[in-house]
Amino acid sequence: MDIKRVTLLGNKDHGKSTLIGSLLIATKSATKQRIDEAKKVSMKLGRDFEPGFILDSFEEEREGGLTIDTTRAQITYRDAAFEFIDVPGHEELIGNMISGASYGDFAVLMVSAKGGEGVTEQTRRHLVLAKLLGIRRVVVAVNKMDMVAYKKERFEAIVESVQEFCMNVGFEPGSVVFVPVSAYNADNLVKRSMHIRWYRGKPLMELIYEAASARKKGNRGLRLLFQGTIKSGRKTLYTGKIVNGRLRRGQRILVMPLGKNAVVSSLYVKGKEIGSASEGNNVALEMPGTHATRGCIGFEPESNPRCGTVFEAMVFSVGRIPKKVQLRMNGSEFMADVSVFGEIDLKSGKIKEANSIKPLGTGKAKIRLSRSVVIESAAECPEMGRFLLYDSGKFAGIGVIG
Amino acid sequence: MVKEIDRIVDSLWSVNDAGNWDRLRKKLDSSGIRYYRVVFEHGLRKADDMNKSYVELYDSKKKLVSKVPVAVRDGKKFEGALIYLKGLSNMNKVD
Amino acid sequence: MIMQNISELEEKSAYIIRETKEKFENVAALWSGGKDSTAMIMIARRAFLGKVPFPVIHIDNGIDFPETYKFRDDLAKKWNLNLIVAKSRIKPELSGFSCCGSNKTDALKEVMKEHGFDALIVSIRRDEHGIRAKERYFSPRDTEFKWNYKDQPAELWNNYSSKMDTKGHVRVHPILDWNEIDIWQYTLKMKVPVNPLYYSSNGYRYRSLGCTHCTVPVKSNARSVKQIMDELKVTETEERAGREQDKEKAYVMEKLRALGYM
Repeated sequence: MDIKRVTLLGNKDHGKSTLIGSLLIATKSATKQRIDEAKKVSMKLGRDFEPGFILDSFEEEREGGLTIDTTRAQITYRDAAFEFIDVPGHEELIGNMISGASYGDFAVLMVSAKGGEGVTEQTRRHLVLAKLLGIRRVVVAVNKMDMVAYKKERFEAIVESVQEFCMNVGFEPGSVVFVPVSAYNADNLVKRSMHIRWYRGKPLMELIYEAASARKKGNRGLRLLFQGTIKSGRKTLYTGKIVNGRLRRGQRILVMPLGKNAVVSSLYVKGKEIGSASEGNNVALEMPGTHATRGCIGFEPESNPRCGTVFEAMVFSVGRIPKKVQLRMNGSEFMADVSVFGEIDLKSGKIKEANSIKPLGTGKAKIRLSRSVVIESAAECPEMGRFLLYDSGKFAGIGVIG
Repeated sequence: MVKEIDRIVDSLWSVNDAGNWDRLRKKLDSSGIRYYRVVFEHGLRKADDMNKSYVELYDSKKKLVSKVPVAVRDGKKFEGALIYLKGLSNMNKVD
Repeated sequence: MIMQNISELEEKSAYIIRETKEKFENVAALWSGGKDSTAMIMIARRAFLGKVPFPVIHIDNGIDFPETYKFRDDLAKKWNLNLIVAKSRIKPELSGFSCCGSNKTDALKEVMKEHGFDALIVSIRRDEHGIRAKERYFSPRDTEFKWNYKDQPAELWNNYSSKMDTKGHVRVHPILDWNEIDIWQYTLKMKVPVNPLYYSSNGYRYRSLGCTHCTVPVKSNARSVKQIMDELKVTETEERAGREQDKEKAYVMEKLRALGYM
């Protein structure tokens, strides 16, 4: 079984922890012992049962005297397993999104329907960043419906506001779906709620399941990312990762940006010589006569990859991005000139003219590199069109080509 | 054979050094000793607790044959000695 | 316990190990003789076509199980490992939580310094500790572990921090994503040698191996990897059973306080 990582977005206090707790109960993913303990703690505090207390975030790990609390909960639903990650605050969430491990290509966004909460700047910031990170589908849980008497109008107002923003940011129509829920009462989480009869759609977990199992589209052409070399006896083999497509022994490939054709004379995966390898495989191979270095990309010979030093990109800024930065892409590092020409307006999601990007903001920039690279948009091949920016060795931002 | 082991163990308790442990190690495989059980009688909170800890050695019928320290003493320092018992099987699980 | 796709897990781990070897000059790995670090070495063997290209360090305080010493020495020979034993002495005065009363950190520091290692592969898993705070495969050693995202090395899109970002060494966690049961599934499939202490005798087995002082057996009748897996599928106890329960209760209260509930 694969564990699908769920990126959980949304304003602080819009109910993320409660949602995870309720899902743990509703999907029977939490042990009875854990639920009982949470009940006890709730009682001790003289309050009604709080599902959020089930999370094992109550256990805290201490490292270097500092307390860190990130919660992960594994939830099984139908034939799949989902791992929900929750972090306490807004800055932590942003930090986790941009520095954590790779995510899937869908996210769950919590928006509180309660008066005075609704769609906030944080909500919109998370959506912008999600888009940039390559998240293509968003399941929006409009939460706390119990606190607005399950009113359809309130739900629809939030749907409209989020929908419009998402379209401006560039999500495809139909890729953002909505469900009215009450995490606290477990309304519409796993089963359709009797409280919200006007809602005809699927419950949250089903929408998450569908978003997670939607097939990746895009080109199927070979993209072999060269990593380095290893020695085996007297032989030196190239190592690399196939991020897209297939590779066969005996196949002729085009190594860019060298622009050279080479034949893969032997091919190894997991220590064994094999006839063909595919997406996700870490390969070792012999390729006589061509010296591929780290950062080179292997293509099918008939493909026509674009190479160059200049491209446009969408960039997220952690603090401030200076004009000259180090850029890491596909395992290599480059010096880069960044000239910003637009920034996303957080109110509308539209790009407005600007020559710098505010901290935690996202904008458009023209990037000029010190040497030639393969330029492929992230929309075409997500693994290839992404980069990280550093200012004097310090992490400064991320970007995607296109 | 058991007598020889006894003699080595006796000298180990009076002079707990690497030399005596080596002597035990050499005889161990042919001694009939098959199992061990480590006993930290007073836990392990300070170095002196090592002095109160020992390893019971058993034969193939799980009959207690002898007891040895858990550590080698090197001046004032202790170093665990369980590598000298390599080849024996655990009986701690059998409380 | 959720069982994952070990083929995919292995690819991810192999990538991280190769990346470590590519980016650092002097790599070493910790090897306890336990199931996790042994599985990691198996992954490395396969990723490097049979030969583990870095030394493996056993931090030894002398009171590991005799079986572990045998397992270590036999496998080091069989797999042609470059084994470094870092001896850690029992300290005269022991404080609270130092395991087995020895200072393993000192022994490690010494051996790291002596050999000048700039990357250390450590086989920790996220599911070992209820939560393993941040998702970090590469963790620079001498920076404060603050939750300050501006200073966190970004670990995104297969870009990992290298020596350039730190002055000390970097800890690498290639099997962070594996669950306990995944390790066993891999062990079974790849026929990775198993320390016999993991198997049941007289109704007990060891579930995670430390030294003879800190390791407590659990009730079990599992006499094979297959049976261990069957037991894990239904177990509700944590791998590190015997942790002090009161301490966790204290954490609960502290957390609630921090959240403003108390």
